[in-house]
Amino acid sequence: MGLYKLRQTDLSIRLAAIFFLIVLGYGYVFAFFMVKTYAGLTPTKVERTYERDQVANQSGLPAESQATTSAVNLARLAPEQHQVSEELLVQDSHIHVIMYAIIAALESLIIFGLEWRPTFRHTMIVAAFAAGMLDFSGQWLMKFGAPGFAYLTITSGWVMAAVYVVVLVRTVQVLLKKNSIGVQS
Amino acid sequence: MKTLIDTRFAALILAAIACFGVKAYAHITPTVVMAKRGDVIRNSLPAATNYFVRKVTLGQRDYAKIKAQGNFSPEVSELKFFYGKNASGGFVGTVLFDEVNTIHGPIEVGIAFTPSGTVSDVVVTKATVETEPWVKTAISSGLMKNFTGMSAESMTDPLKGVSKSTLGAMPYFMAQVITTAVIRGVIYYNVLFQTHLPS
Repeated sequence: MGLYKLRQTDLSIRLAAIFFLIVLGYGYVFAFFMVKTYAGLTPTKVERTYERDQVANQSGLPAESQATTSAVNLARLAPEQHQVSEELLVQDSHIHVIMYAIIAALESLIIFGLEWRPTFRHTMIVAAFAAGMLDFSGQWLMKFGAPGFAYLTITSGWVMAAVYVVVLVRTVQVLLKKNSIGVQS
Repeated sequence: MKTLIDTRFAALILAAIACFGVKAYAHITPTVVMAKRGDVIRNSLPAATNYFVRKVTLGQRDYAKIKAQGNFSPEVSELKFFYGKNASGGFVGTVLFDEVNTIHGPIEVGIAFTPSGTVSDVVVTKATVETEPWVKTAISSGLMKNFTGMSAESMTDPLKGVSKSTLGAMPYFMAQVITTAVIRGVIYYNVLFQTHLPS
């Protein structure tokens, strides 16, 4: 079975494709604000969000407790950086990774009809799936003690956004082409 | 002409990516700040004019004591005790924040202590979008006042009088989680702070 041309499909299909992308973008805007609020937008904050849990492993503790005291200005008491524990990351992963796969699959269905050259089309499909997987791979690697993988998580997020935007813009372009056909019922 | 259109189209894509570069970064379970830590400390220690934080890195000996006294294994290796002093330098009380992870997300509770080590105030500082309504229902049952006066030497049952059938299953679960946080806080205070009270 070959590919199809989105611009030559029934209006129902084109409507479904474009509205899926619009609503997905709407959700992504809120995803951005949520990430900005809770994880932060810098590698340092992302590292802090996913840093290794300070689980007290008795054998790894010093023999005696140690304490330090310092004055605190409550007016300047910085809000605690939101941290995702291992348990929370399991929850987040099982929800998000499944949704990423579904979103990448739906984006791929649209990509099939965008009349791109095979190499670019294949790249976009791989990027759509890989971004979500690498996003959470980076989070888990940070959780396992490799903070440098904040860059992997951040880059994956950007790749995900880029795939979305390219597909959206190309879809709009394709649907506005003069030889797009009208209603086929 | 075609090249010009392609160039413009490429520029449009790049601009859109730059503007919409959203989505980047990671996703997390949304938490809800029900009370700011600074406000909880200020309100729980009204006589304080100066505030301090004692960061305690847990040692093996205290780990064992906590396990023996509280029948739980500490989940964190560092704890922060915020305490206040009045204008004449007198110690007026302490606030500790303890977080309990549940399958519905974390619940953080601020526990305030009098200088003698009894609980004077309990405030839920953090919940999640999902748990916040349940937490509010649990609080509205009058649960929080049941913690007042608790100490390591006087562990009452705060859930006594709180009915699962009246509250509902999830608010009752939240009441149990809050109680867990307070009991753990009392043990942490007793083992890690009360033995070395500020002068």
